[in-house]
Amino acid sequence: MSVLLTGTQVIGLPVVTLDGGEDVADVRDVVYDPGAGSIVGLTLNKRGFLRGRLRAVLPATNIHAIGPDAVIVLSESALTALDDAPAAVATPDEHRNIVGNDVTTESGTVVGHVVDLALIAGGKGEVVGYQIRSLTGQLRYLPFHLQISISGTALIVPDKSVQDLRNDLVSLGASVDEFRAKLGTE
Amino acid sequence: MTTTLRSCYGRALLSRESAVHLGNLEHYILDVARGAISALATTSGKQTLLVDWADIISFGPDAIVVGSDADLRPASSEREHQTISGALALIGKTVLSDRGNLLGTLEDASFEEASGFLTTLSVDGQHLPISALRGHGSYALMVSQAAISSPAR
Repeated sequence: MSVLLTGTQVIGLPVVTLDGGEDVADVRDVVYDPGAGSIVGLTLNKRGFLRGRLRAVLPATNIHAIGPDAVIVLSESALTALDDAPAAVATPDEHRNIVGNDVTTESGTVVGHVVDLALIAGGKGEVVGYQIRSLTGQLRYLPFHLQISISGTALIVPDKSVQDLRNDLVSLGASVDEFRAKLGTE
Repeated sequence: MTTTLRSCYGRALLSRESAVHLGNLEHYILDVARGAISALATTSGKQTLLVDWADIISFGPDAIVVGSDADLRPASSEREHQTISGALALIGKTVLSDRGNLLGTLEDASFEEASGFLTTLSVDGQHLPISALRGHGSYALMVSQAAISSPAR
């Protein structure tokens, strides 16, 4: 079964080289492309006492794996100077931040707001759902395939998706596996 | 015959040529690509010196016999300097998988006394085959996640 992580859990993780076992940065933030359903990269902080923004980023194409305890890259050369990195990750569009978006049904009812992303642990940044907070304050998980559209202001979902909200990351992972099995993509 | 890293720390290094005690084993220098120990480090006087595995005559239960005093050499690469500074100390090192999972810390590792080839890594009670080893740095030992599901006996 797919094990999932939230985007918030990724922030602060060390970025470690597979070839050298060295920690070369900390994750500062996760840059997400809501249309594609995947992250485009990670912005970085320096490690150690000289913490602060690193003038390099980690494009998603250079990520080996995002795990619960570290982000793995093949070597330090995976880190890309801001000037050489894709604009989507070097200068992310702040208006595309989906945290705080209202989750609105097709019939126009707000059922909560987006709190976080859910990613596959051990993957390269594939987003499989959203953590949302319902109007009654409960945390729920919405599978990505229920997203109709997203703007940076609102996430539109089918009316019936309210019944498909999951209580935790484990059941969201099971839901994702079930959906993929139906598509034959697992 | 195999032995473990932990059990050999402190073992005496002797010169076969002069029978002089050259020092005691303090550090192992690993060649990750080969999965083998490439050199040993010992402190002689105020200086930490290395002896290449190829210059070791025998790795006995009580002493490690080196060809001659002249086989000791100073650290020459950045990696060797890192090792003798303690930055690459193996025992207690964090072990991470290539999927980003923390597996624990390295408790010990087994190696063949004759060749210096490592055989298994002991990580929080689990024995991983040396074929799982991917990298070794100041932060972590890196291992293949695939090897975790087929641990060594």
